[in-house]
Amino acid sequence: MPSDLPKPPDVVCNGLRKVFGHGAQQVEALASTDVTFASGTTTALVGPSGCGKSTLLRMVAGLETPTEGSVLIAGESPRMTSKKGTLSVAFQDPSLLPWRTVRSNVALARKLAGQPADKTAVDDLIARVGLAGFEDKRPAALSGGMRQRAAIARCLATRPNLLLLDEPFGAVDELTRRRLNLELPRLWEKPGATTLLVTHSVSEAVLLSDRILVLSARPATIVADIDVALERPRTARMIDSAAFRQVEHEVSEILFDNKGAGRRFAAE
Amino acid sequence: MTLSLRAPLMTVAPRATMAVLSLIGVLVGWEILARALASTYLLAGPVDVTRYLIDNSGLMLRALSVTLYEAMWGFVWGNLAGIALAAVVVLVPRFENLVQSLALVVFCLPLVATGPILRVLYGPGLGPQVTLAALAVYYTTFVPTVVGLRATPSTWLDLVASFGHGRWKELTVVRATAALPYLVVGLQIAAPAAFLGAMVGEFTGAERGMGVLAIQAMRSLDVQATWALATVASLVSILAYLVVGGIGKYLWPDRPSIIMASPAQNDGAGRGAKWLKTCGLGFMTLGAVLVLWWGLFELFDVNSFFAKRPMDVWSYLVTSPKALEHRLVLWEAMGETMAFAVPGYLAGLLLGAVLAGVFVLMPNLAGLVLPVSIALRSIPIVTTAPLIVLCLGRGAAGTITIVAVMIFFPTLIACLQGLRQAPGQILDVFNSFATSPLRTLFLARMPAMLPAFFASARMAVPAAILAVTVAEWLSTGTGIGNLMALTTSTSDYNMLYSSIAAVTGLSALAYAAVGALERVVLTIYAPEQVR
Repeated sequence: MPSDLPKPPDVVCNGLRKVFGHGAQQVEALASTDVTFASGTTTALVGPSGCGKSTLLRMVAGLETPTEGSVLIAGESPRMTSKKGTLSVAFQDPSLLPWRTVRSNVALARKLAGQPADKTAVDDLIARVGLAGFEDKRPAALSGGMRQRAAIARCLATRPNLLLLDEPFGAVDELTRRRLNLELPRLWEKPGATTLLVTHSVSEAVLLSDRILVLSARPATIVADIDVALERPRTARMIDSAAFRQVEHEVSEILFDNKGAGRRFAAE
Repeated sequence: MTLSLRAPLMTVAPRATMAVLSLIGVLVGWEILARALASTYLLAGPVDVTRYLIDNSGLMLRALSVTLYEAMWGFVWGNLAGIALAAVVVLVPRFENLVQSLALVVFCLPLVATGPILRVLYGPGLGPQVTLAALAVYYTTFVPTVVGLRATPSTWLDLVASFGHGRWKELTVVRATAALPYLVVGLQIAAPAAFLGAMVGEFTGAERGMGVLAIQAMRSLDVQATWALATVASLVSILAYLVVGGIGKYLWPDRPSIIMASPAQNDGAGRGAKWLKTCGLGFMTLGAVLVLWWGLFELFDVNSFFAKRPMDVWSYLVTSPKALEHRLVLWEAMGETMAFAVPGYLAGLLLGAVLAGVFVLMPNLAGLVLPVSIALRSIPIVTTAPLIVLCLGRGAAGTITIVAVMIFFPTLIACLQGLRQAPGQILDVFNSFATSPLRTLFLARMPAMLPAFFASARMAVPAAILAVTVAEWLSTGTGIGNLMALTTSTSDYNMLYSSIAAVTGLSALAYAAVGALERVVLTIYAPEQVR
């Protein structure tokens, strides 16, 4: 990747809060939160199901409007960043358009971002996610893991410098997930995008991120902020290392003793 | 969060308020238009209609009760037949394709010609109207019920099998339960359709009922009566649709999304083998139809003067000395009919799809217009055909309009449902690039809508034929509908049966052709729907 790319953005959340519904059916998904994601780092958000981590990510992506507070991406609103095409989102569901081929799905992202079509770059990217030879296949002809690879390729096709990954490996089986965990991050680590990753898997969080935020149950609050000081690139062998196990253990402790964590948090 | 069409409307105004507003809008607009066009004697406004209904309440109530009675029995018999056929298909999968094709062929019978023939067979009375109502109903119940019986989660079936039970238990215990929501959808479509069948039955020579009054009013250019009858027919249809739908919604809140699924092709054969199989099925269906046609007439020993057998039609069209002449007459009439049916069919489909797109782009407009559209969707336009004839004349415009309107509303509603089928996360992807709604419509929503559009296009084929033949029968003096009317009154039964065979064959073939096109579209746009 050329080094003259602009520096990946800082993401600053100021008093960010989200409430869904009206009147008696109000649900507070995210309590007022201040957090900064530093340029070029990967941050994992972990927490119990439905705790509001996806809501946080969706507000950064501009897919939800905050009830209070704001998100600034390199000083600009998410909507502005979306329009520039420098932000990319990947979801748990690959959400490929079933009537388009892999190539056409990946190229779609460039089209939507207003970037010129670049067949060589698209095919190169498809090859790098391991789908060479499947460019002209439609999603129905691919396995779940392959679809997820295609979705990641689409996500990277615009060369975004802010990546928002909402459980991108959540729907594939454990073996495939581990493979994707080890293979795919190389594609975005090198150009150095700022990355937010929502995940249910503690080991995935440790493997992929520089920093892990543990969120409490609804309304989500950040109960722990853990640095992952493992060297990059991360490898399969690292998973068995003591340092890796140590971080994993630390996160699990907080996650599975959430009530205690909540109390501890309140007391502080 | 999925971006549904309804969600933004709920925040603008509750749906009920919008519905009332649009209803008032329609009534006021109608009255203003009627007053503006008073000199043309085409339009009677709501005030006139109400006055007419009050003045003639006794007559109207008697006619309505007769038609409702016929429609009710047609509804019962037609739905029972539809359910029974669906059960046969699931119990004996071997006959599935044949039963499906036979059911389709019978559904494609032109009601305007079946009516008079049944009248001869039954003698005076309500029999023909009830039968036509049943014929108008059974297919739209049969298709979703089969889909429903198939929609059973396979784990449920495994559960039944693991207790050592067979197919019968499977059907009665598990599949029946899973099919109920689908059946309800079928019944909802059936309710106004039964009314339509009864009305068409009355058009074609009954003694009493709404249809009889409608024809009289049309022939005597009685504007008030025509509008009053069309209004009552529409209101009854809407009411039937809403009541059955309401009961269904109360009992099973989740409406299944795929209802009129295309006939399954449940084999993994190659392309060549598939073609061979399709052709084989075609011939088998033809054979079965001929055997049934001949067999039933022989069984009931009906007079061969008015109940022509397949051999009679064959000799009339092929072997008799005047066969060429007969074929020419038939050919010409079919040509005239197609000249109306095809443009009307295409216009109805196109308008429905385009308007659905517009509604998605302008949710506020949709909120106002949609309740009216849903109401109009439930009106079998054929019941108001006399009115359209009155307004647009007996020429091409009137007939094409009847066909187009008959198809327009179901297509609009189906397409709107289809546009909502675009999965939320795909829309999120578009949204994350700040894509404009118009672009999202073209790149994501429209393609996702295609399966619903084609299902609607397939079901619209028999509807278009029904609409065009009724219009021709009633008024235009051209086409195959007119030929059927003519041959009925001159007792030229050979030509009548030839016409019926031609219309039925054409209708079934067109249905199959649209179905084939639909399958191609489905393999690309909704591969999960093609098994």
